Amino acid sequence: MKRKKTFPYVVLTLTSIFLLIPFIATLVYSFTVGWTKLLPAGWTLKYWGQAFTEPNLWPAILRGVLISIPPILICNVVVILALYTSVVYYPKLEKYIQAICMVPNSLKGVIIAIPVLALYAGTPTIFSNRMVMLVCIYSISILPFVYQGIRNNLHGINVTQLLEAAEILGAGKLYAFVRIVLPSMLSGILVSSLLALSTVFGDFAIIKIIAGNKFETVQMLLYNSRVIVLQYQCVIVIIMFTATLVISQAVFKFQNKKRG
Amino acid sequence: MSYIEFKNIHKRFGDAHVLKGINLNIEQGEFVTLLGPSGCGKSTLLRCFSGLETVSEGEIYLDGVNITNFTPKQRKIGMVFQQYSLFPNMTVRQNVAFGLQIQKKEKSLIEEKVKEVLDIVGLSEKIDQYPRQLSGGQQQRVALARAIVMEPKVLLLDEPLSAIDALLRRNLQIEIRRIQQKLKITAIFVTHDQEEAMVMSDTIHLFNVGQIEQSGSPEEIYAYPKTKFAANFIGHYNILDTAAMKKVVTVDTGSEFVAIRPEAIRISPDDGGSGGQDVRMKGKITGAMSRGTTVAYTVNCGGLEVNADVLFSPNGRMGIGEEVYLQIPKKDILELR
Repeated sequence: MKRKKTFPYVVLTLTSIFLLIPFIATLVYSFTVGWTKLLPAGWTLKYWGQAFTEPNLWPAILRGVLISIPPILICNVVVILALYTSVVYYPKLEKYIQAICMVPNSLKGVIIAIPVLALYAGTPTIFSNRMVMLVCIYSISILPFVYQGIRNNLHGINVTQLLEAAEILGAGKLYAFVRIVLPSMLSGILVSSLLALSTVFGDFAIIKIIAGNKFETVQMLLYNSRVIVLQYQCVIVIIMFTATLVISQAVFKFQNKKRG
Repeated sequence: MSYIEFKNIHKRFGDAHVLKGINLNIEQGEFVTLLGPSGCGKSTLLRCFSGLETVSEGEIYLDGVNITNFTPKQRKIGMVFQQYSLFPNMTVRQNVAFGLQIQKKEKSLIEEKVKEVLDIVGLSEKIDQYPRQLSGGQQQRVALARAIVMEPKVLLLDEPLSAIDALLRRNLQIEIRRIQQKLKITAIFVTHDQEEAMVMSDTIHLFNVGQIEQSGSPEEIYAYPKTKFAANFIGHYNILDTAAMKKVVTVDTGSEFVAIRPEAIRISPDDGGSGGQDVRMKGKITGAMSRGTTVAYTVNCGGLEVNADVLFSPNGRMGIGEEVYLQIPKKDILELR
């Protein structure tokens, strides 16, 4: 007898509605000329037109993406190498790596940004460069997401035995790691990287403290345009959301294509 | 000199002394099983042979060469693991070809050999599938193909069938044995399943707490266990305390325990008369369990519980509480160390 699956469907539908409401409300609001007590006063495409002709918007989105990439790369390389070393050579070290990687969870970006600025601003080192500062701070603040994603994936594929199997077949440990383990972890790396991307992409506090108005990302653009009408801000939010969605879908498509 | 020689192998993990002076010889083309319960050291010995573990003491020889300090790659062996360990990002073809590619063999030769071994394991049609698209049994056959394509000097099998269901397992036991005999490859097989060991092996080495308890052919190990542990582990032997047995019947033995196979005991409702070659005991049936072709009786002989397996007969079934006579050939009463 086929069991009825009504309950899961109801839960899933309600959750989807709950998650979509803010998005739909923002989208709808971006098309309105104003709002009466209950319904929109009228509809317009004016703000969307403004957004697409706004000369600062697209460079701001591009800046957001560009500033996200180096921290994600740095963080992934560091975490993968650390976990590889601990899993293959020193399994007892893993708990310490975990503890270290989780620290940024309790030290929010602002708390890291202010001391970094006080410590390095104006010094004759490379760290006084605001872009370097930003990259370094982001690298630390995304550490928990990247670590957790990669760790879960690494433990799901029985690395030790895969490496041993490859070793018996004549491969070196590092070669086996690059050729077998790393590709098998790709989905975990991508998921945690996307999570990190959305965190960096959505940051306002750190960039405001470190770069001020010198490096205008979309969040900064939103902040600077706070005096502008709300509908315009809604358009920017929808564009940001869509940009993140497009990037993540492109990455997953690429991954699935590689898998065959 | 044997093809493989383990000489006084010791292995310690911190304070744990896992292998305690193993001496073992294996001949070329032999299918040898290391049998024993979990934690007895059988897999550790296999891993020491493969080079995945180092030995704490002792030497290992393969084909006359001391390989004790060789890397796994230098040993030229093949290994099949319990959890298949197929590379998940590679197709069957790529998995099987992996070792040959490392050896930088010609592409055409790799293709030819891959197809040949996949044909041997009967998976030619799965060549372009990924491990996740295969069943457990198919994955294990790919793992076997990946190992034998390298033409290893020795094939190591570390509990390769323990993650597979019973029916498939029986088929794979036969399959592995067939391939081993066809390729005349020396194989060391690790298992904790005595039936599996009996079906597959030329020689069984029974392990217990880091030492070899008994070695021999499957028939020898089954019919003549030498120790209480061997009798317990190998079959459903009756292991009887000699002192308790002597209270019931006269037996001529100096050992503390004796073992009797349940199927060696004859059971009948009346005393069949005395025979000099048999030991006879009177008892009462306390349990009867049908196992299809046999019936397993438990008989209490003056406080001594004895199990006897009798061929099933529709009219000859005896009931619980019935008084019976047990007849045990003296040659089937085995003295244990």
